[in-house]
Amino acid sequence: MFESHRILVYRQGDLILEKVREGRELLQLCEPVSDKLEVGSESGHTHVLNAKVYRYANQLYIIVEKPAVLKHPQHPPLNIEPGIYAIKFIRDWFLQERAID
Amino acid sequence: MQYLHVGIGFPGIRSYNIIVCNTFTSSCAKKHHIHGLNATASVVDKVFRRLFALIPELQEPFHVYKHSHREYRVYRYSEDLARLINMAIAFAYALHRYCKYDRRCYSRVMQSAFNACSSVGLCLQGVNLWMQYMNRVLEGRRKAGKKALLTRLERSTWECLHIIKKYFSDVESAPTFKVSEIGFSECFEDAIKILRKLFPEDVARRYANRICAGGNSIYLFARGAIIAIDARYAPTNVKIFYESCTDTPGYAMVKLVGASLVDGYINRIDWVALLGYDKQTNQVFLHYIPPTLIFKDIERARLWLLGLVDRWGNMLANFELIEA
Repeated sequence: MFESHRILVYRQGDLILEKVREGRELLQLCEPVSDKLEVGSESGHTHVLNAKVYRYANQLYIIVEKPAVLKHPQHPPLNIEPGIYAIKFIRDWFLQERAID
Repeated sequence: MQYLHVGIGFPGIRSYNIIVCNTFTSSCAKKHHIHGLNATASVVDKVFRRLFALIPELQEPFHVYKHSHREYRVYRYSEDLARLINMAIAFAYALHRYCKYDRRCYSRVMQSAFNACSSVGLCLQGVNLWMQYMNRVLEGRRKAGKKALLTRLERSTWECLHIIKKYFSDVESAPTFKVSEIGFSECFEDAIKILRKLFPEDVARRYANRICAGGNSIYLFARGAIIAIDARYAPTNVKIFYESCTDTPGYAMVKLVGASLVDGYINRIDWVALLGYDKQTNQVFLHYIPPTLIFKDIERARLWLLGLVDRWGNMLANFELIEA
């Protein structure tokens, strides 16, 4: 059975924010990338969130210090609660390595 | 003079190694064991043990020796004996498919098949009769399974037609681009020219690589409009079915199944994908999903795209999903 701890996952279009449990210890290993999250989507528009972006081993993380809003011109705004999130995208069976699931 | 060496693995390593040699000594196994016929399934072990116990010719080997982890029994070669050993392996695999998990079935069939095993010749006849019977039954089961699969997909296709007509009316008349069937490089070059117009370079390359690497099917892609790429290199009848569909306030989605048909029946599932329409952004999307999700709930399949379930549809974590 799963632990009682629930993982918070936000999705806006093809962008996925998954809350991580590691916390700030993880960020000590990461290198800072930018002070704002800006991710281009397939439509040419951009997902924007006021949060610091970090990178560790090709994985991007963001730290949301206080409640923030993820914005995109084509999607309703999404309220993001404070925490550390891994940035992920919609996946496709043909585009990923077979061994990974 | 030729000899038949039958190497019997110890219990737990039930691996049989059968070699035909000009010598009866252990040098046969030492030199030629890689050229021999190997059988490892435990059902083979069951069948062989019964054979060795019943057939007088097999009870008295000409010579016995040990090599590696096997005990080799050496018999004077005869066409019938070699045929029986080969048939016993085929019989064991057919028996496994015929009986599946029914233990009584194994002993019942073996008892009946080996009933007349007072000699190799008589044993051949008994085993052969059972082989023919089991193969007929297995063929019938295969056909019934294929028919049931076709019926199920045809019915679901019919049920999802209204969603297709409402949101994806161009899917059945999508422009189809044929790529070269000469070889992988030619197919890749053709495919990437088309896919570059729809996707960024790395995505186009990976899609092109995937569809040209022996897929032999027709693939759909959606980015604004829907297109098809025909990457068949051999004549194949490919049909696209709609396995399930959903229409929610946020999106409409259909699970597509690309299948190859032979003699009107489904012979192979080539791919499974989710074709969706995002009502907020007014965009059509298509993502391929693992074929293991073919009969899983469409919502479960969508969660695979988000990385929240594994390719069997099992939840990877206890999550709370908030979407916009």
